[in-house]
Amino acid sequence: MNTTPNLFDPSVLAAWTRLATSDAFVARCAILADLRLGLRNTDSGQALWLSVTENSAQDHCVQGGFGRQDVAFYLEGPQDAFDDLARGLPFNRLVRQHRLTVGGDLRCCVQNWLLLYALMRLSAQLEA
Amino acid sequence: MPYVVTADGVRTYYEQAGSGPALVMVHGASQDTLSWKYVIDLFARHYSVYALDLPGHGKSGLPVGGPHTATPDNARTVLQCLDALDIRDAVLMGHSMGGGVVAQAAVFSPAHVRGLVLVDGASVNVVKSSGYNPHILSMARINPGDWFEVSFRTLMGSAVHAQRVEDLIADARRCDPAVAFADICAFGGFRMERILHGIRCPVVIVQGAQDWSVPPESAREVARQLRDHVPVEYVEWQDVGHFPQNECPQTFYQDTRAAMVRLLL
Repeated sequence: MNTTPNLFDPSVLAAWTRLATSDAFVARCAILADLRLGLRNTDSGQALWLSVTENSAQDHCVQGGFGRQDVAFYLEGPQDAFDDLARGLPFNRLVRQHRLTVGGDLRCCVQNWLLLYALMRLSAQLEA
Repeated sequence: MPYVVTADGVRTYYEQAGSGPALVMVHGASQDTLSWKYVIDLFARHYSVYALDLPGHGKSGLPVGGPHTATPDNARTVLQCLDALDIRDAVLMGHSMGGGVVAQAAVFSPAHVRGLVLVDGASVNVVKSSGYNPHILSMARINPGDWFEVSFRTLMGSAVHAQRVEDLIADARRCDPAVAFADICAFGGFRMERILHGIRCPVVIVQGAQDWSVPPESAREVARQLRDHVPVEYVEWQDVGHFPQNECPQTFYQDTRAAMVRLLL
């Protein structure tokens, strides 16, 4: 039985944003953040966005939705790359091995590399 | 604090402990002598241990031409340090990028090098495993500090203690970003497979099974190729990633030392 969560499922995305909003490491990396990034599944054509906003020094908010509107950059790749991301493979490993590629503003992506890691690592904690 | 000035004029910091045959430790990318802090005293029971800061790292000065972007330049620095310290020959231990540095040093000057210990530093087909093609290099150049922090966080093995991760990150973040990026270029541009035939000394290869930057398949391939012409000991630890000397220092010391003894090093 395949229990890997589909990151493009609405309930999984909702759980992801809740988890990220309450995560201390995301909070640490979200100082001064005002970022909206995307993920795009090149097999299915599905796309989602995640936004991170610092409300105050102690508070941040992560929201999510579907589509690619207003994202600064996006990570795109086939279904199996997102499955591996959800199984715990680090996103940077997938990028370095060219299974996920960056579209849009590359500079913005790498400038937010640590925040991106903070968000992406949580995908391994989501349930199908 | 101990410094030595190399023939190229780089003021190089080193730490020394113990007495006996010389064992010289060379750190990896975006790191320094602190990389060895949990194991220096252990190896100092049997060796005169020297841990070096490569140029631009830790407390060492920068070369006149800027950070070294090629492994052979760092190898020459290591050999110049041996001369400056009046070390006739030594076992060279290199971690990650430092593995390439010490392997290259052994090829440049076999008489200086009694043996090699490659710690997650036996890397072939590095572009395939680490992904450092020109596009990925252009990404890393944008933000080397975060690049290394994320790399290091994700290269730790599953058994590592959380505080040990933070120790390593704190050290790595102190590295000058320009030096850190130069390290990426040096690591990504080195082709160990091209020099293996020139290694003439015994080699110990130790490896974390969960390392994805210098993966076990790469280390096993290096061992296989070296066994054609030199004695090799290969050790691999489960649940360990790219930093065994930090992740599991006691096990690292015991197994590595035992392998060195088997090779009379």
